[in-house]
Amino acid sequence: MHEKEQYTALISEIIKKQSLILGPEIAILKARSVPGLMVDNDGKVTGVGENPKETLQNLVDQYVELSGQIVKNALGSIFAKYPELEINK
Amino acid sequence: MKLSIRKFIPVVSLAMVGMPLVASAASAGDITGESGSFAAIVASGFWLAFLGFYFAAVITFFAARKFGKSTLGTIFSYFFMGAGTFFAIALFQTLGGDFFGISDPSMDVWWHIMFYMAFASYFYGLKLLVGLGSADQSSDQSMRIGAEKIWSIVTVAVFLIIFIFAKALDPLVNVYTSSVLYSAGLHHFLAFIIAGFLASYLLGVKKNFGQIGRAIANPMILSVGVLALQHFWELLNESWQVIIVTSAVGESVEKIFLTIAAIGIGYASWRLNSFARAS
Repeated sequence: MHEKEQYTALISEIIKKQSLILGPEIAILKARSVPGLMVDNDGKVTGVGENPKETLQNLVDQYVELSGQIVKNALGSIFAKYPELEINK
Repeated sequence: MKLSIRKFIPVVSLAMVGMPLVASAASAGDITGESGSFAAIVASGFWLAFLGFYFAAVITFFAARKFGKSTLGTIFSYFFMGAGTFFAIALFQTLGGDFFGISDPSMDVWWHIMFYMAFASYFYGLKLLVGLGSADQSSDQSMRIGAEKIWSIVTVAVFLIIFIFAKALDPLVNVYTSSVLYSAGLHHFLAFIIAGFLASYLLGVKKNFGQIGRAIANPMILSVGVLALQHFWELLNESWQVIIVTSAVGESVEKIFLTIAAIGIGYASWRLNSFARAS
């Protein structure tokens, strides 16, 4: 899988996980506020912009700002699935 | 035809605002030994607390809905049950002992039972929230999510028992109210203990849970503190009789505490609701 596809899959998983915790409405609204990130009404990622790493970081920052420790613990297991990607944890 | 709770809220809200005005006018001068204006102030205190908790429950309901069928939605539905229980307490107290045919000490016991249930609702919600942020998330976390339905059934069942069978259960309650434990204020000390647990959870939530934590923690801490103060007042005034004032003055002071608590709980829910809308 190409790096961009991996980022897309990772971001999709993060939004899915946050939808379970925060509810889909708020999880998707927050994701849509990230520059470059495009998400459809079902929470599926349709675009990650030119710099997916930065998009990922902005998304994580958005969720951490919203719900702090909840996100940090929820994302650990998801990041572990993508060892090749460079992620600021 | 599909019925929604939302459709009833404006009508019920209008009725809630209108009723106090009628009731205050009707009850002014009814309290023996008190002036008409003071009686009106006491009656207003009852209704202010009543209205405050009504609106707190409504706002919490919308905040819980905003988070939908999610983990936080479940947690906030516990908060809704807590606010709803406080509303039930305010209703119970507003109707009064004459309505239920029970004595003041019995009223005291029954509303304290509901008070413990309200705090227990917040306690369960906060415990789940703190568990969600814990690195060591227990395996029964998913089991506990969903338990709110059982808890809501238990809560409603207890309300029904109290509101319908309070008089029939009076002999049972009298065993406690005639004991030294009642005079010592055991029921207030239980409230202090639960308030302490809640406050410690709220401080953890404030520290670790970002905007969500900050939105709810400060006003909730204020509410829990004020409710603990209300019990302290009752302990000094009613149980230990260290501070001796007329019954009406004692009740008025309690209602001041309750109204502030209602505002705090309502404000926490409003912040939760509004930041969720803005995000």
